[in-house]
Amino acid sequence: MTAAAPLVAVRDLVVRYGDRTVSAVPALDVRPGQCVAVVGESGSGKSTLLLAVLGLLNGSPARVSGSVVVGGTEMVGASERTARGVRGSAVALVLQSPQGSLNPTMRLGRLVRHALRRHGVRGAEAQRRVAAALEAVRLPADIVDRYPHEVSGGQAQRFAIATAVALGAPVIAADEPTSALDVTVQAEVMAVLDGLRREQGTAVLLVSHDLALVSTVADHVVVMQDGAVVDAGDVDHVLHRSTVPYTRALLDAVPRLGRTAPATTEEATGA
Amino acid sequence: MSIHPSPVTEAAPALPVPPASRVPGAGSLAARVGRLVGRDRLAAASAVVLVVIVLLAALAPWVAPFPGDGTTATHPADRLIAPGAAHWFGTDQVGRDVLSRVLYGARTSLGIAAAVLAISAVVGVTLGVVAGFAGGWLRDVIMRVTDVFLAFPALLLSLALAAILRPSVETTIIAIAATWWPWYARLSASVAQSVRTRPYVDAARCLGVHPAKIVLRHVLPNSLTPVLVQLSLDAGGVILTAASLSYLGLGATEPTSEWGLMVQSGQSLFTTHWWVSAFPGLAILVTAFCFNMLGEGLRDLLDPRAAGGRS
Repeated sequence: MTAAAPLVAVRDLVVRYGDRTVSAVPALDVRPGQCVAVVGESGSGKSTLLLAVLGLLNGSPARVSGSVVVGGTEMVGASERTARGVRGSAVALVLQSPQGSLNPTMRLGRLVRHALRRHGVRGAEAQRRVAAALEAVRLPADIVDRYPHEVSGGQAQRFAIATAVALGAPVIAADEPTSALDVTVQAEVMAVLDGLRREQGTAVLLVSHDLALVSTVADHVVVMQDGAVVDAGDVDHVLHRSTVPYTRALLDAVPRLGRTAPATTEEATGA
Repeated sequence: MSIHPSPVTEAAPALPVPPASRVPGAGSLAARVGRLVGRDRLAAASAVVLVVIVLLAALAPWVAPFPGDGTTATHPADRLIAPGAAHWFGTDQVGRDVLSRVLYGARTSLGIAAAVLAISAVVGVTLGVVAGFAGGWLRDVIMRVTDVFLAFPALLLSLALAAILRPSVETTIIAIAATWWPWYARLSASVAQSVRTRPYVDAARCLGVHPAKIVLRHVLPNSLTPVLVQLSLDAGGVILTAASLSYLGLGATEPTSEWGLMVQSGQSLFTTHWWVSAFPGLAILVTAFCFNMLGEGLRDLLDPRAAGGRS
């Protein structure tokens, strides 16, 4: 664990709908250059955690207690205005649906310029940032002239990441950023996130159901089940030395390249 | 990049980027018009006829053989002349050239249609998009008010309003617009409601974009397609309604050239001097028909799933 102050600090977060606790996270820090993965099945509360980080639960029926500090701002109970200031500047979200996340009536260049203008960046500075961000995610510069339907899913997703980079967000939060993509493109998007982390020190908060995939980029893994954190630790620990049965089950449930066929058969018959 | 998960591109996996022309609704305006003509000749022909009608209306003072007849002039000596070389559409009971009045009438009818649709679309779409995007009590209030207006039969409500006000072109516009906007409110509310759940709206929220800008940049542009189709489909209906109101003496008044009014004034002469009513009636028919065909063509072009029996 580095000594740098966390960019995202979650403490004793509890999100309830009525009597049901949908997400309870005692402690989670995201520090500069770190990739923290939150893994779990649908309904485990991992996406709710992201919503809390972005302050998107304020104004919803959910009752939120505890503390989520993002870039020095407390998001729990923050006004919508405060939360809007944090979104996109202290943390930017990349969503699951690649093309769906891009307004089909706008060229990509216009989309990213609008996002930048929202955060006070315009003109030559905006141009420079967009160019640098596109290079960082390995997209051609002329992609800004295309409409969302004219790019592939992987390109769209890398463009979404480029928008986060151009905004200068120190943390990129990604909700299942690759689950709508096929395997080769998944690896490509993961490589882009990993490259940003190494080259620019961008922290990544990755939410996914795919433990095998996140293990290739994450250095800290949080496993959630039914709204609670059941396992947490650095990636090596969680992957190889975890004694938590649920983590083991998740690892076994994920079909992976490189697993030998006999092992699979053995499991299938042995179980 | 070799793999394209998007449904639009998966048919051609070998192409790194699909040419714009392969994608419905993409490409330059000329390309889109070209596809409309190729797909739907009736709609294309209707569009051409409508362009001609609009041009004739705009240029009425110059193309009408007797421009004065379109407004206040009368020629009692030339009354009820049958169609011929001098008066292609004949003359009416006060000697006015029917062709000239039909051309001037196009200005009135198209003007009324444009004004009614502009008012209805601006009021209706604004309320509808706000209702659809905001949801909650605000949507309930707006939609219940809309329902109240929709509860009355449209023509009846227009008639009642027109009857209260003094008959004029402005009255016609107000009376029709008052019954027309709720349809746009309801239509755009339902579209906006579905658009606001799209991921790009979430994405904009997650980038800290202000809700007002989300509505303007993301929800509104993506809600407009069905509104455009509806506008074209409705133009014919508005022209018919306006003609009905003036036919009943509740709309435009003499000496304004208005097709419904002209049909009405020639009605008693129809068996003996058919041309006084027939030509303005034909003008109503052709214009309304063309708007409907164009509207259906646009709907098929913009939303192929809604294509009906026509192809």
